[in-house]
Amino acid sequence: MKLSSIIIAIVLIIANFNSGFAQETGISRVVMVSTLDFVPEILEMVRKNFVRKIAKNASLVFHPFEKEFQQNIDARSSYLLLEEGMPSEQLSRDFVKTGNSFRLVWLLVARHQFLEEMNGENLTLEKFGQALLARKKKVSHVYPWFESLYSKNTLLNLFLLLGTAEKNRSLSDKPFWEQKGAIRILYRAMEEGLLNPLSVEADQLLSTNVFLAGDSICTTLWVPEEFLYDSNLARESLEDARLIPFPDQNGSLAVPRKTFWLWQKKNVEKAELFVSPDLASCSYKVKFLDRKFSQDLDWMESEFSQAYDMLIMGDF
Amino acid sequence: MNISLRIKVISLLFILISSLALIMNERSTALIYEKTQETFQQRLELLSESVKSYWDSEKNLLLSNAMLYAESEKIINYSTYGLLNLLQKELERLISKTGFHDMQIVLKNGQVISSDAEKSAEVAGFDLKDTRLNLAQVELQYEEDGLFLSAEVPVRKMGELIGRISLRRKLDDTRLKKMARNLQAEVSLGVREQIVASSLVDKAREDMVRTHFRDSENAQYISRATLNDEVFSIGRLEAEKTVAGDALIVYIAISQKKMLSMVEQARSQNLTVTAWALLITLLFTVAFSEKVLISRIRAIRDGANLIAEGNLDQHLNIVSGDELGDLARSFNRMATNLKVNRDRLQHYIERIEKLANYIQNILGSLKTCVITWNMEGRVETANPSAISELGEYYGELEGISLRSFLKKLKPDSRAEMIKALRQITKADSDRQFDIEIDCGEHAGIKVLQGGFSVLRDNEDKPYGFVLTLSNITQRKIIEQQLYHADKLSSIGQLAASVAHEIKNPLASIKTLGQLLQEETDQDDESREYIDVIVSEVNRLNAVVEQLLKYAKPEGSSFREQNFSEVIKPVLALVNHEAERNQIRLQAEYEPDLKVYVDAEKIKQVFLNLIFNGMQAMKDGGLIKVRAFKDSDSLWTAFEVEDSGIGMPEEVCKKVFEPFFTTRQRGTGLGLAIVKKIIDLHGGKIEVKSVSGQGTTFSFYLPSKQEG
Repeated sequence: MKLSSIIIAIVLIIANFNSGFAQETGISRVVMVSTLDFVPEILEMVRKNFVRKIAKNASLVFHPFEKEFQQNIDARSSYLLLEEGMPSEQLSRDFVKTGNSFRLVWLLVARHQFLEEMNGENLTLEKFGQALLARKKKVSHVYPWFESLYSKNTLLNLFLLLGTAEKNRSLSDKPFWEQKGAIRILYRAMEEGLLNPLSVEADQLLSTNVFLAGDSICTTLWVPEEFLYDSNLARESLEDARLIPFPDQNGSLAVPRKTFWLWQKKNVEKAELFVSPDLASCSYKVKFLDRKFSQDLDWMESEFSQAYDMLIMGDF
Repeated sequence: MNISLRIKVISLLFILISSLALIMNERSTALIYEKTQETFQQRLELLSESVKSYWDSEKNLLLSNAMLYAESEKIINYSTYGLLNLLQKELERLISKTGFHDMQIVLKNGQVISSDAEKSAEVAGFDLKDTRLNLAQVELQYEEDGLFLSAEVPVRKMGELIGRISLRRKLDDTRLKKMARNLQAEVSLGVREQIVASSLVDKAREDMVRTHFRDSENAQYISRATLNDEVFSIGRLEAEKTVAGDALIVYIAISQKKMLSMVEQARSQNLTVTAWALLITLLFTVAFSEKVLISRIRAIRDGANLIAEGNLDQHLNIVSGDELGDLARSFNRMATNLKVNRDRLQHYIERIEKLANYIQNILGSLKTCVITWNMEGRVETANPSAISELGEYYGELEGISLRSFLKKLKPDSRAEMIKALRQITKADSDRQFDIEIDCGEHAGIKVLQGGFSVLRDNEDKPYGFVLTLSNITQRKIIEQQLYHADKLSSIGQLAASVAHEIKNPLASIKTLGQLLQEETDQDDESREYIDVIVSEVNRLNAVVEQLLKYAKPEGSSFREQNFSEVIKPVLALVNHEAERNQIRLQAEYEPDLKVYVDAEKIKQVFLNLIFNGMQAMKDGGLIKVRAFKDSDSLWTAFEVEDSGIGMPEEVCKKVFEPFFTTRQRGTGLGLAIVKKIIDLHGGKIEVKSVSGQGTTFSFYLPSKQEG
């Protein structure tokens, strides 16, 4: 081999390496549009998960969903994460849907010790309630469960998991887990001092903060789907917490899930989400409840107020 | 070195004005400083009020903040719903956003939640019956880690007390620096003996600590202190008491550096302005003094110089009404008075000079010696007579001592004089004494009669004495001569009476002798004896005649006539005899020399003197006859000088005595008759003779006097 050929080859290798290095060091701006709320810690957790999946250094900017959300998207943004079903007609034509998706699941996040007290693989609402009761007995002045009941998504999820309340039936003295319907269950849990009454005024931010502050044993969170399979992924942000499907009375382990489709600008390198959740590794046999954006939005706009009033007023 | 009046006055003015300006400047600076100090004091008082207001507003702010937090929905909810960690984080968040030090909530169940997580604890629950739990309060807390202002208010939910929230602000250096910025003054807080917080740093703070420690008791409200080498006005007030009852002292310090700098600047500016003003004043003063003062003073000076040169007619023409005008008028009056006084003085001087001359003349004309002595016994003055009489012996009289004076005297005279001197102070002392001075072998003895008298000043105090001496030598001689003449006169009279008694017998003898001659022949032996008798009788008769002539002179006939008429017959008479003896006669006299004499008697004088001279010249010689008269003298001098053998001194003394002769056949009356004739003319005669050289007879006759 001639020397000149070797030199040319080396130059080409170096040039290619430099090009790849430049791509790696570039920070891609990703805008996430959703009806969900995130505290910064959780959003950072989501970002890190997303970055791992997309294999790019990216900043994740969260935009609460609005009807004219397209206008608020920064032109510098390279990627978009839009909920499935979210209207995309008005998006800039620069953005194209990639066919890659990123999923969040709604899980109960609880202290590791608490989950051990739940003792078991069969997660039921009763076991959850017993564990809360046990905790309440230990620390009487602390409400072990704090929920973001002012969050429409949370209340919707609870309604989806625990069912709607039957009207014109009075609240019995039974434990909350024996109550029927999400409103009664929640109301009764508050009466029993297991669910912090402030939950009715709490959004996702507050509930997350209460949990993170240690003032609650458990709460619910939207987290990347992979966290369901491996709670250790959340350990960086949630330390000793573990993530499990929110229990229902039947132990069906239904998990509400939202799918975010990745959009990207045409002129940027095509992105691909490499990590796929390994359902087989999940210790629970869960049933995903894929949320429909339009349906959820309809519920939030038409039924949330009534449901919330019932929760506040106790008008069952 | 002479410095002109102008420079002196201007210098004096300059010094005075400079001193005054400096004093004024210093006083104004001091006044500014004093006023500034007052301003500082007022400012400190205002700052004290501001601090109090600040303090109240701080408390109110703290309280209102505490109340605001107590009404915070989050805090209420977190407290109510047991979100204690979140509550703690919220408290921490709130504190982190504000300048408060810490905040804590004590829940009614006794749980203590603090913004400082480590301080969260659990205490006894509230006694809800305690109504004080519903009150808000503000207090000052002094703890190990600092001074805190705490506001504590109840926290309620729906009117129900759920806890008490306390908000604390640490009164630290940062806070005080902020306060200092607002107040534009340094602020320090002292509790007990410590400065717990201060806007001062480093050495200034250390100095403040010392000031606080020093002034912790009996401190003034306003004082001064040096902090970090900078002077501060310090205001001190007691703002509050801590919970423990300790007084919180607030120190307000205002730097005087700027003020002092401004004062110094003002002082410097004042000095500059003053210096310029002085310079301008100096220039104006120079010009003004030249125009108004110096030129006029020069005029007065020139006038004074003229007057000093004697021109007392000089008058200054300064008509202004100021002091110089007064001076000029006074000067003119002085010149006029000087002139009058000078004339008067001149008159007095002339009188005194006349008097002095008069006295001098008197003393000079006095034959009496007048010598004045001072009390030290030294001659002060001597009049001309004294100098004349005594100068020969004493030399310069003035200044010689009494001792030296006495030393020249004979012992008897010395004793007399000392005796008189000792009695000088006695009132009745008028002792006269004679002193004799030995004038030498030839001059003989000089006899002086003297007396002492005391010199006294106006206060009758003696300051010397006067010695008056009169030369009485001649009088003594005359007295001796008188005595001798008297004796001769007696002898003459006696001789005349004897001669008269002798004359008659002589006449008888002569007659008888002549008879015998006639009767005796020439050849007779006895004839020779008879001739001798007759001759001797004639000689005796001649002696008797001369003796009678001496004793009883003939009448005088004085008249004025030419001397030549007198002398020529005499010379003719003796000429034959002179020629026979080879004696040459020489007469020297003025041809028109007039003499007033008894010519016959004067002829007799010249005859006697010339014959006397001839008899002294055995071998011939020269006889000079001179007569002359000084124009101013009243005497006419006559001299007969021979070149004979001369006479010894003792002979000279006796030549005029009667019957004194050195010749065997002389009568001894010739020169006595000469003397008598001269005396008859009122003249005097003297003789000088040198043995071997000749003899000169000089006699003096008075000229004819008028009237």
